[in-house]
Amino acid sequence: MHDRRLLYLTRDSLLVIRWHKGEQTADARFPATPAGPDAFAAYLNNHPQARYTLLVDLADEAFHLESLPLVRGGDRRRLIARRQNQLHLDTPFVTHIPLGRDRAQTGECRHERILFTALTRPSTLQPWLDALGHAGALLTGVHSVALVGMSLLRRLHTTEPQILLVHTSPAGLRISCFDNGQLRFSRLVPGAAAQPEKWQACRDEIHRTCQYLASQRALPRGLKTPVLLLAHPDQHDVIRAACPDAPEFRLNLTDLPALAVRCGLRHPSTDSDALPLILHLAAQERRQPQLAPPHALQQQRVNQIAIAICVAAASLLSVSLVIAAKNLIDVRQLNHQAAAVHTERVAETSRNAALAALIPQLPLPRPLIQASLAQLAALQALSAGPAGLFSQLASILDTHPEIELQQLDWTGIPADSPVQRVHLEAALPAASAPDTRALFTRRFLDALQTLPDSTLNIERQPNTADDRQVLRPSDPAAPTDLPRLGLRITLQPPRP
Amino acid sequence: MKPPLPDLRRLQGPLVAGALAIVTSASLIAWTNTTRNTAEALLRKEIAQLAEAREQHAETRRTDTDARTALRQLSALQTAGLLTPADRQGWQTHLHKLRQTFQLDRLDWEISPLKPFTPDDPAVLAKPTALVASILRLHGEVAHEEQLLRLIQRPPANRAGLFVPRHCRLARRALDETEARPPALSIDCEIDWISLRLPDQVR
Repeated sequence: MHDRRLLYLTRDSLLVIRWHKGEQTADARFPATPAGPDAFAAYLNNHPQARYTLLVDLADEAFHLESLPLVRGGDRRRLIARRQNQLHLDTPFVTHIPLGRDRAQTGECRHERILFTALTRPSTLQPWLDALGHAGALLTGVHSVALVGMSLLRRLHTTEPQILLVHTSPAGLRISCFDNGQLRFSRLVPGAAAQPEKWQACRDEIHRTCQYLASQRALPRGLKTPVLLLAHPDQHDVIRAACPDAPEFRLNLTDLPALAVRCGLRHPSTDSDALPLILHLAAQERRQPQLAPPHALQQQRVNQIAIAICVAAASLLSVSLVIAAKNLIDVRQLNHQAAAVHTERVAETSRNAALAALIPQLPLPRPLIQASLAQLAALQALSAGPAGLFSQLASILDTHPEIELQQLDWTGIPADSPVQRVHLEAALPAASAPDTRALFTRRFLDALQTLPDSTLNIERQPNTADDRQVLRPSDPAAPTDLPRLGLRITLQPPRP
Repeated sequence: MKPPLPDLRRLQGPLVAGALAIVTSASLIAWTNTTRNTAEALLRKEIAQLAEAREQHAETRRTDTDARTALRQLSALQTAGLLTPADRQGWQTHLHKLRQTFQLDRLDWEISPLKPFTPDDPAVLAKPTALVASILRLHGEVAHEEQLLRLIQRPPANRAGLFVPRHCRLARRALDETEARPPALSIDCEIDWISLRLPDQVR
């Protein structure tokens, strides 16, 4: 995955540069002859795991600036594709660069400017791409040096709205025009860098380019266009002498090695060749416009799918590891808690066993003891017997001599609330008049009412039987039996 | 010219790795989930057993307290003489002495052997008890109620057990002109002499 190689394609050859952490090493060169692609195919077979990025430095480039209605989404894609077809560029190596909204067109920003750029001689690239395709090599993209110039310009931090960028490379002298940092036009003058009077030729090419761009209204007329020329400081004096300022442009010399170092290049070139810097930016910059047709990047998409699968697998594994780690941490905590609870339970059980061993043995089952105690408590209330009641009755009878006690039936009931029940029968004087008997009875009953916590129930009145009885001649004149009073008394036993 | 098909061999490794990752992840999660469920079940079981052990300990405490309370109550009963069974011979001697003292020729009695105490109304005694009683059935005639009260009192020399008259019926006997005896009271009484019987007393 780290074996990355840059393919620098010029009109004459294909140069393979191995790129590793900013280090560039020329690995192979294949001439643009019929044997070149075959040798390149053999080279590819020897390096099947490498990733290749093709950087094209050819003079056969086309730039078309178009102003299209401002639409979005699928409409925009269809509109751009239709416009691209209408340009009849006749090459699969086409791309477009949005340059922002076109304020000059309508003033209402209803259009956007799009630069269509193409490599207009596909036959130059196709043999090399075929070799890459047949070898199954991984091609990450096809870029042009002109498009990489936008990255270079960003590193220069220039604020000029229109500017020309001039640099040399093994392919020749490249002059690019930028409008607000976006590429507007670029041209390569092949072989110009190899000429002895190259800086003089450079001045002429800049002059020519300025005139062309002014005619295309890409540069304003009457203003000096700033020109940034990347060159080694050793040659700045020579350049200044060969390229004085002209009415159309103003030359600004830039220290190429210093710029290369600022951009992170470890070994900048010792001359004015900007290729190492261009290659470095091409390797480092992501999301650069690229010109390869979709089918040329199939292997890249396969590789992206493979990377996506790997990322998904790694993510899945990571998530599962996190969940598993959490589960295992929980298991550890749960086991600690269970162990603590187990220890507590064992201690509780042993405490219980120790306490159980100390429980005194009872001679009887405890429920039997409790029931016996409850029954004893109820019986204890009756232990005084009828003596107290007899004494109270004797006192009452002493004060009622006309009442003669005939029968007394006492019963003690040992319930939850123990009671005494007394059935009493008393006789009244036979000779007394009914009114007198009633008076005696009432007085006796009143005296009985004074017994504490007592309830009286009269079962038989001395007069009632006489009143209800049918008297006949056979009956004696007076009853032989004494008039009797029957009572049932319920009362609380005396407190022991 | 038709472009070459992409080399899908590059996907083999990632697909195998992805499948392995899925299997590994699923196995890992399943295993750790099972382990966690087992640990949770173990903890729940231990907590339930701890609660049961605590409940048992509390029950043992209650049993201990109740047993000690019952022992104290039994000790109090013993102090009060309620664990000593009825002295039937002493009772017999006491009654003989009273009959002789009061010249109660028509007095008769019967002292039952010790047997489990049963009240007249069985509903009163809802639960079984360890109470035993010797029952005195007293019937006959006495001159007056003072004699009766003396007869239904416990022997003065014996303070053991619980002495409880169950019922007592007295009726004035009708005068018979042919009899030379003074008026008398007819009595019919039952008295329980109750005590708590412990197993060693049975033996």
